[in-house]
Amino acid sequence: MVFTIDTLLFQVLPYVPVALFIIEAIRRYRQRPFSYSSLSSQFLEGDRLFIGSVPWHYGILFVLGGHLFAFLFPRELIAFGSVPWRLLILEVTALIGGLVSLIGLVELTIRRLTRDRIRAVTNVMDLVVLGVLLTQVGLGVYIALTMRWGSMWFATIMAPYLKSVVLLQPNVDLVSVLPWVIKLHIVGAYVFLAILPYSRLVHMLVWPVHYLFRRPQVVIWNAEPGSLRSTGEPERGG
Amino acid sequence: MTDRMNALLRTAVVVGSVVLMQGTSRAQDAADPTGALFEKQCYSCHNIGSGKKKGPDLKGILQRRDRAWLHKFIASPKSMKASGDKIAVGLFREFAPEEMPDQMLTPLQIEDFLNFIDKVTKSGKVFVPQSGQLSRPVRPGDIEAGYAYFTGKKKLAAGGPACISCHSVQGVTPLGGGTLGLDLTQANARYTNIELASILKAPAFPTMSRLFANNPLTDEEVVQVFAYLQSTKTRTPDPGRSAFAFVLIGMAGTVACLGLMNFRWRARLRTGVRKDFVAQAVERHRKNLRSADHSHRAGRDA
Amino acid sequence: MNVRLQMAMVFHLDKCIGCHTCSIACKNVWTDRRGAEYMWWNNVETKPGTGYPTAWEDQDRYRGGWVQGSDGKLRLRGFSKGGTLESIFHQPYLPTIDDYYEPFTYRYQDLFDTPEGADQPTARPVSMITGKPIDIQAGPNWDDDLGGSPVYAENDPNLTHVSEEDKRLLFELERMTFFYVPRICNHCLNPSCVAACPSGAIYKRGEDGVVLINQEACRGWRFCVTACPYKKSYYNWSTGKSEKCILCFPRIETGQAPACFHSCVGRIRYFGGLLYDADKLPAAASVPEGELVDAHRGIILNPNDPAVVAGARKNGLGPDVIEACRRSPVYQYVIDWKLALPLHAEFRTIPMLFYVPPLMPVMATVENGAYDTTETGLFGVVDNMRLPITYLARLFSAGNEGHVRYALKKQIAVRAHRRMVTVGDLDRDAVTSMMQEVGADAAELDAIYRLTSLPTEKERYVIPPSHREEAEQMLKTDVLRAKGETGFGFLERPVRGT
Ligand code: SF4
Ligand code: SF4
Repeated sequence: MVFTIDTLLFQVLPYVPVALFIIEAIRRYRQRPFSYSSLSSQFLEGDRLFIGSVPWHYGILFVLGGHLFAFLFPRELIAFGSVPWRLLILEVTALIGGLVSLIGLVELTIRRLTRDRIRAVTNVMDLVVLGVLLTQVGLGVYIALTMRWGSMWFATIMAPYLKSVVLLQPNVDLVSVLPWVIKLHIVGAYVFLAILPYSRLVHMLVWPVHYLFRRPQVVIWNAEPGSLRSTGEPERGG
Repeated sequence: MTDRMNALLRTAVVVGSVVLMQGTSRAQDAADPTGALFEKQCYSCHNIGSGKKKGPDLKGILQRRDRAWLHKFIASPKSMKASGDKIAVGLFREFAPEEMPDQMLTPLQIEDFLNFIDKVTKSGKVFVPQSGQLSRPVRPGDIEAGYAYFTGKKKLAAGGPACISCHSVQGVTPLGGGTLGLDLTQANARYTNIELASILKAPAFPTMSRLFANNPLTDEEVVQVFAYLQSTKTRTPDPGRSAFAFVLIGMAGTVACLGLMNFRWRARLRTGVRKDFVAQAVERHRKNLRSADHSHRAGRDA
Repeated sequence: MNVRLQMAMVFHLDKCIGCHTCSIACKNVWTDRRGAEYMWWNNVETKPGTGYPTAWEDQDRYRGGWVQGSDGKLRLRGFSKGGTLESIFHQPYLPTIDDYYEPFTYRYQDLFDTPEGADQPTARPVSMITGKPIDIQAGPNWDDDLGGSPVYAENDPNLTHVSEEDKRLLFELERMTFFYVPRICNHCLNPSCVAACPSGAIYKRGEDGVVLINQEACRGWRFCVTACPYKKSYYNWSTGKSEKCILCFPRIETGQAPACFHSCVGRIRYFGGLLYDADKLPAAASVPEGELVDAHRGIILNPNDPAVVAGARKNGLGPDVIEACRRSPVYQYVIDWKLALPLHAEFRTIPMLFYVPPLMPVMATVENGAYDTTETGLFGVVDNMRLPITYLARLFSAGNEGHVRYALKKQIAVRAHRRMVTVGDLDRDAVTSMMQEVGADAAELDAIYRLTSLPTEKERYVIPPSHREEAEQMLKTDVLRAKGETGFGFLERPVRGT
């Protein structure tokens, strides 16, 4: 086997962040549960946060969902995109998702860097996170614009590649011929995974879906009700 | 009516050119085992008789170069270049950034290739690869079928991806086609018919060859996509315009989305409740001052 | 019947002197930390006024508490469950720090370090968030004693129900009046903060009803802040977790009153257990507004009723706990005497902190140079109060004026009765008919007088034993080992995650 930079990036590297992600996220959850928080700064500044946070989160959730769908159901995606107008709708919505999240992210970055109160609650890792996300989303939008149609070639090239990674037989051939911009985007995704458990990004792992299924009130007993406080019986022993 | 006539006319042109191409190629020796090997190993970069590709046309190579030199060069072009051989360095410069890789060929195989090239050269014909031969002449209706394959409306039988994923052809959709690969509008201007057909059958480009390695186009599909690509030969590509439309629609949609979010949460608290109260009180105070000032003045005047 | 114990409170507003000692006690014990400087788990606000945070009672703005749907079911005013997840990226109704105040300190060191010069050195105020000099815009109790009335008192959300004429009178300089409302978390029976927490980090302790936020499960989504109509859940901007009053549970577990109770200068605070029927719970919060106070009283059980005692025993409440509930001053004020009323029952969280509405400086009627001591003259006070009864009813009985009027009349009856006994210048018939009107005999009025004016600490704070030693056993740990090895507090330091 010829060992190239591609082999390193796309064959070996993927497993490092994945392993880090899984092990560290669980370890942190169990050992340092206090550090799992959204770390929201809305309390310190709300108006600008709205302009940034809402588009960012909805945009990126949509886009990530799209990536996931294309990975899981490439055939269905291709079938859907086989009629030109459907393909266009698909691509335009994806682009909108990307642009919306990019605008939100840029706004969040500006807010974080320019507001004194927000800077007071910013640490180095927050800046790293912002840097990685800006690069990723920026590249993504650039790719969507210049290397069309992403949904289609993702389904035909990236989906099999990712599948090969998941199946522990990474097929570097598929990606090694892609333009460097796309390669950078893929590497960025691995970097994202790697920093996730070490950053505030962990809040996405504790997104509270279970809220939908729980009863409104929570009562916790330090011991089973009915078995406590048996002492103080005046008649006991008497 | 005119559409119909246009279609007919296009078909006629394509059929004509294909017939021509078939005429020149019939004789060829694809059955020759060395020919098949040549197609597999060399043809992605070299023609015999039909012009430069990534590398030089090999027609009459034996007449131009020394046989011993050729042996050495083919076996390891890189070491030849490294040794400072003038011709090798010149070739590398001419075809940069393409670089001919070292070949794992025995001297016997190289000899076979050289003989084969010589045979084709002497026959006065060009090398037509097996894949360059269409299985049947183009018929009316092929263009439409080819268009359907191109956009993916009709699935390729072996399951290969539709062309539009990566390629555009002027007018294929209102926003054009893919841009990861080449714009194929004038594919035929860049490639000969033979090459085009051969690319469709067994693409030699790195990405395509991998994508289609296990699911090549059927002969029928090759003819039809070929026919479609031929029919677009006369169009002028204008990728900038479709890209611009794409961006524009995207931006309009983005603005709409942002507006929607703003509308959805229009009742949100802004600037702070306390600040509002202070602003209102200050405003009221100002107004009182003004009216007091006014009545004061009015009183003095009276 | 599902009998449970709730630690409940009564604040006697007529006795509060607005000294803020309670707030300071709490601050010193619990919230003197980065990110918590602005939190006042206990605060004392001036009424009329907008309180802390500004206009917290205005649920059209902040959307706290519950509302009753047209189907009679309760739902959170702020968000449905789906709406919670929808609004999780930016909470539309969350107050920001500007609605509280930006915590500040002064650069005292400058007073010493400034080189000699023509001017006096000053200690500039600096923000405790950014460390930079700020213009102080607000502080805790910024509207204390009606300070800044045009901004604050006039925007009191409770005044929307007061007539224009009364409002004008209210702010007439000579007549102007105010009273204090000390507030802590009400440790509600139907807490909306618990129901709104998407992480399920907030819970009510089964044993004593204290509402707590599990700091390790809180993810800082801040829905409790919005959902608590009393704004008694606070977001720590430094650690990224929400915090609230813990009713000093480490103190009550060891039989001590919470710090704010313990330190109260006016001795206005009463603390004791109530037994209630948990089965009646959602229903008691789902009645029309005017009946809410009665419904609240309806779920509280009589600790002398044998059926209740049996139910309590069945649920594991020991005889010593039940005995403590019998002596509970809260039970007396709320149920026996019907003097104490819940604050803003219309939020439907069933708060367990009750207030005795204040009589305030009485506007006695003077006739012929002598106080009018007839029945009409005395009771007339109630309707001629400087603060309109509509206003008090908004605060303490969800608009039902009858409850407030009764509580005020009863307090006047106590005064009249005691004056008759001690001074003897009142007409016995007038006093007797007053007593009849409030349905109380002399013994009851004397009891009220005693518990209001002369209570000992033991009478004010009757804390049922919590038997932590048994809880430890129930957790199936080795008690002796636990005693030797386990301390309180965090295993992980409460610092902001990255
Ligand atoms: S007062 Fe607020 S924080 Fe306290 S229990 Fe009630 S709803 Fe929760
Ligand atoms: S310490 Fe007591 S008297 Fe003083 S403000 Fe607090 S509640 Fe009122």
